[in-house]
Amino acid sequence: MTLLEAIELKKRFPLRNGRQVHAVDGVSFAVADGESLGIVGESGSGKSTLARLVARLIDPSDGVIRFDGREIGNVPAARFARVSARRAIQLVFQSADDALNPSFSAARNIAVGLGQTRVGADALVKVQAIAAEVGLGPHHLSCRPHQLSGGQQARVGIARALVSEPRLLILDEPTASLDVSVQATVLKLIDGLQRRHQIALLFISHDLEIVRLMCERILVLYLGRVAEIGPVEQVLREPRHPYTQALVGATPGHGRPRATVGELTGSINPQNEACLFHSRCPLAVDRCRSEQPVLRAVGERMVACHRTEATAGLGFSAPAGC
Amino acid sequence: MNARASTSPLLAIEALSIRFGDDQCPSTVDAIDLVIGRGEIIALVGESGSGKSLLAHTIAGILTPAASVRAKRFEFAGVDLRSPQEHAFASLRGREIGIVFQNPRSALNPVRTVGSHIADVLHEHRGLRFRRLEAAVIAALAAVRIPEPAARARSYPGELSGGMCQRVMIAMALAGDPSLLVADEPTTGLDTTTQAAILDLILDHARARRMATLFITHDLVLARAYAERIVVMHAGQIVEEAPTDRLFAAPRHPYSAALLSATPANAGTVADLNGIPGNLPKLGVSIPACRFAERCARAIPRCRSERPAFVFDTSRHGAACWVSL
Repeated sequence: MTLLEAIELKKRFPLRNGRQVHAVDGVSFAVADGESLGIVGESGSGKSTLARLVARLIDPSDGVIRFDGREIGNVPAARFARVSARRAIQLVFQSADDALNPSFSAARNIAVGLGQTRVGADALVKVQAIAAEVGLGPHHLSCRPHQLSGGQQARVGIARALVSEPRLLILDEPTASLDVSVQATVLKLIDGLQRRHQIALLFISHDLEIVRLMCERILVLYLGRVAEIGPVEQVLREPRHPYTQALVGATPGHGRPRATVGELTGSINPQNEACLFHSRCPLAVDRCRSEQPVLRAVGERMVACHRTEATAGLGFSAPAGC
Repeated sequence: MNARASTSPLLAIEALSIRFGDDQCPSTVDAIDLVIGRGEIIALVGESGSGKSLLAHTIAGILTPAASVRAKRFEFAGVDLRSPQEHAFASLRGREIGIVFQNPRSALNPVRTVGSHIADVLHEHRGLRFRRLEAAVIAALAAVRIPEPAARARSYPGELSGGMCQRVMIAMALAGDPSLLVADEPTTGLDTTTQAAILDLILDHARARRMATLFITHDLVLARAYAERIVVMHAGQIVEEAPTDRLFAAPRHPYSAALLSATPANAGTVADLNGIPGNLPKLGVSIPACRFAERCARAIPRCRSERPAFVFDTSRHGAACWVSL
């Protein structure tokens, strides 16, 4: 069953003299109950803005967000805290260090997820239960964030998000600041929790390898628009959008990384009558400069590209394995 | 290349330690042996707290004065770099040894144009002035593949992307035509597409100039893609050193093996990932044992009482581990 649905979602940030950053520019996707969707793209692609829109921390400029069949995009962010969906949609931030209140103990930080800043008796039971589940002991609960290691802080951030028993968990680069040895433990923890509690995941990352491990489907975002969306193994093994191909090709672990495209251009007042990727695209033709491609089904996936016939058969080697 | 031509290695380090405090204090970076040949591309891999940046700064001659360095041997192209450090390094730093830092935007002065940064270095090392200096600045920007170099020379760091700023840093590091480039996490914080372009740029220059490169990274997969030899550090010590293929095919130190099995690119599913339990040892007290012993699944009693010697096998593959001897 569809849990979350975004339809033609847009977020524009105004600049001076009437210009606008089109951070999220007409994004549509759906996430089923218990499903995990990875969102990848370069910095500036709109990943975090999309996360904040769905988490209802900011208001969309246009479009619909439906959660559990109900429209939540029209509830102002300032009032969303009082809507029941608030507890069902939780967010884990990138840097646990910054996202936790430094003057609160770990227990109080987790209780914030229940909408409480004091840990009452019934809250304490829930806090202790979720803390045990993420691998934090009673001695950790009385610690302030700075007394905890990076991995433990990440666990507090995850516990805070899970304590209200959400149905959708949005993770914005949850392991970006962790060492690989700690990251492995945290990824396993998130995966286990997701399976046990049947939570849907929106997993934002710039790391394709992590998304391959954590998600069933992947959404590739380019300057606020969906370039490609589909089953993760398929998309990463045989990407069909030239941008996805560039991302996969630049990832070490698929042989020598290749830099095939130039640098990202901005998303200020983009051309509506063109593919946003055309200036970096090795396959661009005249049509790409004059007509914006729409998402079309290619097998099990959707691709927004005029040249999908030219992108077939470009397979990438499987990961190295040890 | 203006370093004296000789058959000796470019950089030779023996029993180097870095301390914060007097000689009684335990060493933060401990008993480092490292040899870099001319034109060699070496990756120094380690997690945070492994001491890789301290070692890099020592080699580049920009170590904080709060730390003190002791070494049995510390030579660059035949020049003894042991104390007085400042004196020995003055003629090398920036000229023979270039450095590229992690965060290019904070390494550049925000109120000066990128061209003036490069002009400083070119003037200092090559004595260029006026028209010839201006032309050399534009050529330097073009050499790091910055489009419209003449226009970009007048840009301020804030007007350029992170990747472009890193290209400027590389242009500055290359201005003295160094024979060793120390690249300290040069692509951390950059997108993978930019990362590949920046590393290609560094490697192309390294090959063209036969410039040795010490590439410091926390990413084993990235090290594998670019380096000929990999040195793994843990808690201030080198635990393993091997030709790249050998390290991945048959790691000899349990820490290297654990790092590999924690790396997402090596895992088929999440279940294949294995974290490393425990934390780095506190380095406030000296440890007479293997510094990894407490986190090691294969530790034997000897690991907790005696420091393992670093032993090379016949294929230049060395490790400091009692178990894998």
